[in-house]
Amino acid sequence: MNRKKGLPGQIDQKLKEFEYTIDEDISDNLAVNELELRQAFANCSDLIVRKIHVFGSNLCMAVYLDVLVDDTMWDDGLLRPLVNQEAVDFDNSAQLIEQLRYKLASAVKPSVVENLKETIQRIVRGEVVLFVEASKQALSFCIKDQLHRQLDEPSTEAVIRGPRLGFIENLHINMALVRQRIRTPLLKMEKISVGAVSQTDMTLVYIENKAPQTVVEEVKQRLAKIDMDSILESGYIEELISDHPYTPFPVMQTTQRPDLVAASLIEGKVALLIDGSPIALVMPITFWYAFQTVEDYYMNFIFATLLRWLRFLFAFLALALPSIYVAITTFHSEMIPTSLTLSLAAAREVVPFPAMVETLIMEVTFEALREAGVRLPRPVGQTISIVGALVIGQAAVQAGIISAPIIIIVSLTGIASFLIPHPGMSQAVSILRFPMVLCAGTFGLYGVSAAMLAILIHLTNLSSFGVPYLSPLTPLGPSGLWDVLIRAPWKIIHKRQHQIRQKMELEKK
Amino acid sequence: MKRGLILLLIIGLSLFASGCGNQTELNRLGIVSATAFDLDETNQWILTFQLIKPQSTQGKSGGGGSQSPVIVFSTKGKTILEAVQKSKLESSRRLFFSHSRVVIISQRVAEFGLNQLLDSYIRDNQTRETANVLIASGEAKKVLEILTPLENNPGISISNLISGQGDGQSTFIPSTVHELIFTITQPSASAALPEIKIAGDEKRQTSLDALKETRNPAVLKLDRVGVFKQDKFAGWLTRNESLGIPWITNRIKNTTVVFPCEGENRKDQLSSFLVETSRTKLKPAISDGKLLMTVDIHAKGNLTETACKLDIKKPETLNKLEKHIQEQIKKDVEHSFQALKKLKADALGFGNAFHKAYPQAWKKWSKNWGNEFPKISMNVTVKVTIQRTGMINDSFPKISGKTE
Repeated sequence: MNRKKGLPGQIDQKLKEFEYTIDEDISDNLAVNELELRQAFANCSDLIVRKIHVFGSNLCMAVYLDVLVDDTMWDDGLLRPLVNQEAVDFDNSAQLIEQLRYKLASAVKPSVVENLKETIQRIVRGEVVLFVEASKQALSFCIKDQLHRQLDEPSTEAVIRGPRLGFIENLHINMALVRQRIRTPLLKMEKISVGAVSQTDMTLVYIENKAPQTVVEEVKQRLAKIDMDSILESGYIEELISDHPYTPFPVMQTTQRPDLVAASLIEGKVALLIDGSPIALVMPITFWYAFQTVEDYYMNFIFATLLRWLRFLFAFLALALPSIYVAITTFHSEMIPTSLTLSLAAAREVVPFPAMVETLIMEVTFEALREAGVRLPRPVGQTISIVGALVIGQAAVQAGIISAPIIIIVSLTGIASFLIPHPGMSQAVSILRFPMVLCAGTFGLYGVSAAMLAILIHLTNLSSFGVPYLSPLTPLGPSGLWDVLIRAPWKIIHKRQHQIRQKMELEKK
Repeated sequence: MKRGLILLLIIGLSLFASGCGNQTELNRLGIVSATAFDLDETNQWILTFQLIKPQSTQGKSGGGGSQSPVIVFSTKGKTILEAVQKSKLESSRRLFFSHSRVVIISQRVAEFGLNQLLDSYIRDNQTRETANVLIASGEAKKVLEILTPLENNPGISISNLISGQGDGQSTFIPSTVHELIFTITQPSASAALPEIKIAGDEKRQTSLDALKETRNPAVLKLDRVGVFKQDKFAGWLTRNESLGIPWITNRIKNTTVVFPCEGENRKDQLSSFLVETSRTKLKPAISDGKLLMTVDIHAKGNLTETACKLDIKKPETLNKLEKHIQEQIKKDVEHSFQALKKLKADALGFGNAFHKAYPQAWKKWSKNWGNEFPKISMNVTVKVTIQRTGMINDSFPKISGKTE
């Protein structure tokens, strides 16, 4: 209990540490300003303080962080126009500021700062702050270096048909990618900054009139409540603003695809782009979203429906196949067709472990192989798959340590878990698989169905930003069954969406 | 937090401490594929189990061909369950009856009565009511010792024999346990069960060596039909006498009717008619105070074989053939009816039909149905439609132009 009480105090202290003690106005003395800044940026070798003369011999001081500023922009876009001006004599510094603001031939728009704290915040974001001699105002130019990699196809969400463009780690470009797809001023992009130390920028994206105002407000409120030093990935936000932080199930869509974000926005969802993360968050989502891919909407709707059912089936297998196998072979041998019983019995003849232990061993091995495959460098990764498949699979069966059917079950389960498009859902299924096997091994099919029921109850309790997780199936809503169990043709989806919007508007009135 | 941990511990431990109930691993089960019931002279039950050896079903590994696919052993007991219990003294594995598809009873057991057997059978939760019951005229356990060449598992082989996988042979009475119970519990109806017979040298067929020969020394064969009155054996119908039963009980699926095509006396000119669908209606009636049963049979099928010189393209020829077939079916039906009359056993469901039609009068008849049944006069009307005549029209004797 003491811990909890101590928490806010700790944070206060931390904040104080990083809160720049200076919370005062800019001085009209350049030397004072320089001193203050140098104090604030003590031991920061990348701080540059550079005195220049503009419009002749008016002394100015540019302060910036070397590593964050784009050199060419600084050179050609700012320094040259500043220095190469004809000499002008100003009556006072305000005139000079005026001149700099409106007569400078530069693409970079300056903004005025008067507070030292704000100045510092701008500097750490990669802006160049220009102090003018004898002025209490300074000008800030944003010429930060857009450090980013090439736009690339998102490796985790590949499609056969569809755009090959994915988000990258740069917020600016990610915003552009969304903006390019929805060309309307109704597309709102609100900038929010979270994290006491990291000061991470993020953009709340939504379409006005489509996204429910309540959800937008809720997201904003939850973001405002975040009390963290740093936000380094969208995963932080996902966990911090989730309705249910303690569920294995994902209540937000995570995606690298701008087209998916655009589609969700048009459906009235809210997206959150986070600087430094190529993964955008989309909310609110329902359970069914985890089984849809953007490609569903790009291909033939019949085939898409088929694929959707295939995913449901395999999601069920990924969750329950090992436990059903364990339950049936150890408790309900009468349920298996005779010839299958015989082959299973024959395969299990020499195996020393009970089916449950055997299944757990293989499931754990599989998860380990998967994890190893993710972590290992690509050339070594191949070795793992060979070692995993051949040595563990075949040799273990031949040695009589485990039976062949369990290899089939585990590999089928493994493949099945990769069929779930949402990585979070896939993880949730993997987590729940183990307690399911334990239930199956102790209570048979009764245990399996009890576990399934528990999961179902949990799912019905979940919600994502106020939207029931299993809707529109339960509570049965009119909105969207044609896009849950099947992928209806676009004409119908569009028409229905329109009808629902009309109905909602009527209800509002 | 602490409370949650304790709760988790309780749940976790209770999972493991629960002793795993009735859990049995597959490799601890002795899977029974067939059971045989005998009674010895002192009326002690002799139960014989046919256990499948799972290793032998695996084609490649372990040289499955070198060992017998099943093992057979018998136990003795005053009651059936005592005998089952005693099997534990002999078998290293727990007997598992859920996959047992065949129950074979000896004629002696059938004469003793099926009540005790059926009671213990349906009281048990492992046994299946879809298992087939067959009678062996000799010792039932001998049947289980016979190896079958095509099916690895003799139990499955027998059950396939009955379910009529060989088309055109489904003239036998299907005899699952639930059907048997259903019939026996009716006051008037008599159950009928097929006989399983070992044809050949049974001693030699119990060894794997027998399977190495092309023609096996002994085979299992379905033969006569055993008729019951209540739960006791009443007598046998021969194969020919039993032919009419499926016709009357509307159980014909696929069967072949052999008929002479030019009048009854021409035994050398026979034809075959393959029945594809057949429907039978029983119409009970009372005329002059006597019970009269009208049996309406409508069969459709194909002409599959003929040795007669026929011009099949003509409708008259077909009509004539249909008439011959009708006569043949009628003869079969009458034959069976007469045989059952002699046994005073109603295995045809006549009692049921009269019960439905005359519920009031039935109360009187049912008390003495065994004596009423033989008094029924039966009127058979058969309608046969030849739908197709196969790939050729005229009969081959006609095409070849040979005169007899």
